[in-house]
Amino acid sequence: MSSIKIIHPGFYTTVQDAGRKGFAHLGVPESGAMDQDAYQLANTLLNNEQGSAVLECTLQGPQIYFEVDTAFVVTGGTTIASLDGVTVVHGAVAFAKAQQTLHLGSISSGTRCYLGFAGGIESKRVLGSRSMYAPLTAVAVTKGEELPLGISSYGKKKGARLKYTMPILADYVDLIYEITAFEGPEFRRLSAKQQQDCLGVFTVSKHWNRMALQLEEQLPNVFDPMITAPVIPGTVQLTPSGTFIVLLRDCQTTGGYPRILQVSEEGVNGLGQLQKGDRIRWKLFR
Amino acid sequence: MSAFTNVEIFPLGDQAILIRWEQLPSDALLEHLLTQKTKIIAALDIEVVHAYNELLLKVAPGKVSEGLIRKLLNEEVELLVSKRMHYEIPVCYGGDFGKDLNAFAKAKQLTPEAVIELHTKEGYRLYFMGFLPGFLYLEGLDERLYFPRKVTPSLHMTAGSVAIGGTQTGIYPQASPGGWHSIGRTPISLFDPSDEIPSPFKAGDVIQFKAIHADVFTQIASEVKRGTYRLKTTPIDV
Repeated sequence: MSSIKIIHPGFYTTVQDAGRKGFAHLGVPESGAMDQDAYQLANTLLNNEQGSAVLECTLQGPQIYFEVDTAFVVTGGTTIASLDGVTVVHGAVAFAKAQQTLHLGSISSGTRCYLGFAGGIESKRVLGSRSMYAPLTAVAVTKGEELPLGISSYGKKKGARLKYTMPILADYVDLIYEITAFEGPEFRRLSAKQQQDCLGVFTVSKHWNRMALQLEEQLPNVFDPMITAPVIPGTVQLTPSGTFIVLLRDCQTTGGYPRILQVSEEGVNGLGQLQKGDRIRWKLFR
Repeated sequence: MSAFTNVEIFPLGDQAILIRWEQLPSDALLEHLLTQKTKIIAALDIEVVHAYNELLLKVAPGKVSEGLIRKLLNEEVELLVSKRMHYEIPVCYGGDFGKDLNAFAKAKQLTPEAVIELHTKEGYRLYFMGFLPGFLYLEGLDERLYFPRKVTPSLHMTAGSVAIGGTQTGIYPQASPGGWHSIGRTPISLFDPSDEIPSPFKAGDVIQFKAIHADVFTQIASEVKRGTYRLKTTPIDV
């Protein structure tokens, strides 16, 4: 059986797939790749089955040792990738020989990149998914860990020829990302002025992770407390202290704060590429 | 059933549909939600999550019409309702097991024994799970035990901690930060992801705490570790 070995895990690298479906009623988060677009692209380019597991690398990529010849691809956030010193093109399938080492650098545009392998990572499934989420699984991959790969079907049948275009990751300093969102269940409890204030520019605060990101700019409010209700990735909550919390893939399944907005699926993928200091504006779809 | 016909149905973004009932949470509304949930899952084969007064349908809003949902809600069907169960959860109160018990009792002007008595005398209805994998939303805390959450959450609540926060009581299924007051701890495991059925509990079940001594805690803990411990459970007659 083929496998890869983690020489260095990078800053925060996890195994992720399409997510853990069907256990929300037990309080289990969906998890899965933060940027599902980039994740699915990796599997498509490798002719993997959709739903195959990949590595999600955050801010600083890992170093990987290949035990056998393996086709792989890097998608999502851009990074300098090199295979024994030879640069690997982002978004193009590359081929590692046995005993070669792949180095991924820091992610310069976007926040997370996806490293897919032909055959997919075949780590143990927990509740139907390989997505890492502590305490159901380990927190992240660790130094020296070996990850088994499935059987490659790369090149076995003719895959679609894809034109690959970069997602919303252009790294202009002044760029404001526009994210499509819908009115949330409690949006109409805001005054007209507050509703208008939701459409300003917001900055991602230092609190950002796979569970949620918080925004710097606040919106004072005096909502009546609400009873706990279901939430999903993309739900934008407003706390009594006025902080917006944008829930992401590892979010809990129920919450007690008013749900002001609901980000589009496409927007949730985009938010997975943001980090502290990035600026956004909601494009409200009514 | 006619008491619960007033519902709002609206999309939650492009990912889900919410059905909201106007009524305040109650055992009757819970039973109604569970019936409706079972019907929707059977008819549409989609994931449905419920909380106090809402059902969340994990389906793109374009795929299922509001008309179809209303039709399903109004359908009268005989359902095989699974029997509700009563579970007894052993808890060792106070000391190292519940570090906040004494301070909690003092603040409530009760003795620690009175707190334990009030906490164990009745069962709590399980409404739903959320917050953490296997965390139970339990209703029925005696008003005399209502107490605001901590202003600064504790960084480490041990797995199994039995705690009170606001008008609720609950068990921390995993070690996590938490803002509730820890009054005891159970040796049983509330959530086992390696098990096909990670949690034995279902919405509608009744959970009752039973005070145990430290030596019983140790004994049960070792049985849990060996996989030989069986929760004490009895069907509830409706």
